[in-house]
Parts: sequence; C-alpha cells; structure tokens
Amino acid sequence: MKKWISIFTIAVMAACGVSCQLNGGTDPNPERANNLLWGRVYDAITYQYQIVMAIEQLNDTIRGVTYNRDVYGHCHISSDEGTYNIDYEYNNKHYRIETFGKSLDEGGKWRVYIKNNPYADFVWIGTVQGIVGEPAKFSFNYDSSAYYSTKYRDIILSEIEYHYDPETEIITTKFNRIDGYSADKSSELVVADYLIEFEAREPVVFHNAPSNSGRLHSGKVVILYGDTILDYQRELTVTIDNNRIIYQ
Amino acid sequence: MKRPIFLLIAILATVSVSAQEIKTNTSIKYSKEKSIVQTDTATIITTVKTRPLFSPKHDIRAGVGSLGLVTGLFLGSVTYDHDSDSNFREDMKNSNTYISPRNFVGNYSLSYTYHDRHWLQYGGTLAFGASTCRRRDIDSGKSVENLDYYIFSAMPSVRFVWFYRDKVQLYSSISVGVVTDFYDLYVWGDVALIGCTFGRKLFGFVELGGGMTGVARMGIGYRFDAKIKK
Repeated sequence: MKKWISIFTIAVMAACGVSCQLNGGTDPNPERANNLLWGRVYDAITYQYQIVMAIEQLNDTIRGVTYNRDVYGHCHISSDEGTYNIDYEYNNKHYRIETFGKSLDEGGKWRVYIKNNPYADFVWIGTVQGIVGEPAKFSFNYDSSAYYSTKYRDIILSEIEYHYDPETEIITTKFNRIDGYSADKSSELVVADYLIEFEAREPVVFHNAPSNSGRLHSGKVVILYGDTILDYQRELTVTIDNNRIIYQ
Repeated sequence: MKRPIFLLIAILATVSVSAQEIKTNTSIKYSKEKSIVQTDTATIITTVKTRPLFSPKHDIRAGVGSLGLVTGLFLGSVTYDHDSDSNFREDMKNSNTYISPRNFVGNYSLSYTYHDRHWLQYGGTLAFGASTCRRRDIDSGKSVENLDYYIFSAMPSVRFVWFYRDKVQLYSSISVGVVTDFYDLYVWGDVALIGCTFGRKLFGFVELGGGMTGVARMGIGYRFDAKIKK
C-alpha cells in the first residue's frame, strides 16, 4: 500500500512539475472593439475631409479669398477651361474637379475625380452641390467604389459649411450631416460581408489650425455594425469632445 | 520550471543507482567462481564467470514528459495567441473576449516493450500531449471558444541497452511513427539519448532526449517474464 501511495504521489508531482505556461494570452480590453469600429468610420470620414479641403480651396480660389497663412498646405491648383487639377504634394494625391463654369454659391454642381498616383487614371468619386447665396456651404455625395480596387466601399452623404477665423487662423469645417456606410465583401457573389452604418447626431467639426493640417475636433456619431455572415451586431455612439474620444 | 524537473530526475537517478550499489552483492545474478586444483606438478586455477540466464520479458510503461521543442511546436509554445486585425470581421466578433494564458499540461506516454536480448528491446509507444487555452467573455469570464491543442503519436520503438544489471539498466532508444494534431498527419519521432530504469518488476524510469514525449521524461513500468516455448 505504501509503495502505491509513493508511486501515486510521485506521478502527481511529475504531472504538476512538467506543466507550465506557454504564453500569457491577451488582456481583456473592452475598448478594443470600439477602437476598431470607430477606426473604420474615422478613416472614412477623414478621407472624405481631405477631399473636402480640396473643394474648399478651389471654392476659395474661385471666390478670390486669401488667408493670412497658407491654410491648405502643399496643395496646388491649375485650371484648364473649367476643369481644375488639385495636386497634394504632401501625400501625392491628385484631384480633378469639373465646375462646369458655375461657382458653388451660384448653385454649381461639381464633379470630383481622384487618382492615387501619376500613372493611374482619374476616377469619379463624388458630386458637390453648391447652394445659391451660400459661399461656404455645400453638400458632397461621396462614393469610393471607383477609387478602391478592392471590394471595400464607403458611401457618404455630407452637408458641409466652413469658415475662417482670422484671429486664431483656424479654418473650421463643420459636417452638419454625415450619413454613410462602409461595406466590404469577400467576393463578387455576395452583397456584403459586413456593413457599417454611421450617422452624425451632432455636427462633426474639423479644425485646420496653424499647428495642424486638419484634425477632428468635436462631434457625435452613431455607428451600427452588422456582420451578415457571422450574425453579429454592435452599436456604438462616439462623442468627440475637443479631440477627446468618448464611447457610449 | 524545467530546473525542478531536472533536479527531481537527478535525485531519482542518484537514489536508484546508490541503492543498486548497496544491494548488488545479494542480488547480482552473475559471479566469478575460482577453483584451484593442486597437482604434483602444477597448480591449476580455473575461473568460471557465470552470466545470468536471460529470459525474454515484456514491460509496459506509463510516463510523463516535460515540454520539448517538437511538442512545443505543435502545442503553441513558439507562437503567441493574439487577436489581430488581419480579419476585421473576426476581430469585431471576438472583440468582447480575451484569450486566457496557454498552459502546457504535459506529454503523457504509454509504451510496451519486448525484451528480446540483453541489449535489444523493441515495442511501441503511444504519446499524448496537450496545451489548454480558452477564449473567454470579458464580462462574464465564461469560455466562448476552446483553443486547446492536442497531439497524439503512435511510434514503433527500439531500445538499445548498454548497461544491464538486474535492477538498473541504462539505455538509448529511438522511435519513429506518425503524429497527428487532429488536423494533419505527420511523420515524426522520438529519441531517448540516455535512459535509466531502476527496479525489478515494478520499476521507475527517467530519460533525457527529444521528440514527441518531451525533453525529460519519467514514469513507472512493470516487467514480467515472457512465456518460453518449450
């Protein structure tokens, strides 16, 4: 009996002795999903904001507005009979805007094209609609499907106004309306693997200050994520308060 | 973690060998017998060395082994469990979860060997290794996904005994067979560079080597005579 107890004890000790931890796993991070989801929406909105800045600059150029500082950075405009080419040296982006001879405050409807590199063709990514008598207000229908070669797609309908404060030298771009969705599909056969719908509940404001070339400053966005295959949904409200992100 | 294992093995080996040395006079099966015959013209000294009569035996063993490089490869010691953004949808679905630490629970083996000669034994080994890991819900802590890894191997084996005493044997062995992680099948093996058994019928063993049963192994076994055909 004593022998068997010894054997059993040694066997248990041996089994305990060889067991060990191989890696530490991951830490619980409740904010991770929110960060991931907001990251996608933030990318879509800020990418649109870059184009909006080009539209603003063209609008200001046509209106003959000048600023105390170079608020649009490395952005250069050249024109050719109602077609304006806007080149960003900074990120090598090239936009082309057709105005059809009408400014935004005359109710002009502009078409916006983009090409990612000098060898690519311009593709149509959106339409700008001006408002009669409103020199710094317009709406922008943006669709990235022609631009992205992948199956990823952003569609955003925005209403925008902007103004320049000569004291702070800040251009404030306010998205009074953002209504859009991002979708991704794994093949041509499916409609979408997932859909992210987002909507601005409070105006989303970007500040183009002397210290930066455009930063999200405030706003409130409601996001609804739905996975069509994994049957998973998530809802998130993001409040941006003076550059601070709050998830609800 | 490996240091206590080696220490334990060393203690067991030392105790067994020292025990053998003390009792060897009474248990040794072979001996020298010296006879002296005195004649008128000469003295004839005859020395007869008697080797123990070897009888074929079976043994069965159960052992546990530490983590090795090979088992580590299969059981996730060289990769980290992580959530990555490579697949956004999976990432979103898993975002309210976390992955618990991955724990190695041991390599367990069961083997049978036939003792054909003093120096040659052969048989087969079954080995099983596992590491446990769970994906858990952040709020409730409940397991939502089983991320355990398992390996199972079946290997014919040959053992070469290079020090044979009744109670202690030192040997080396090699096994080659198939391994499965329950997804794929591989051909792999196991080597015991040095192994030691101590005991008669019921015996313990310790081994150092590499392969499917780990780097350091120990266990118990039972030896019994094979029936000799007359």
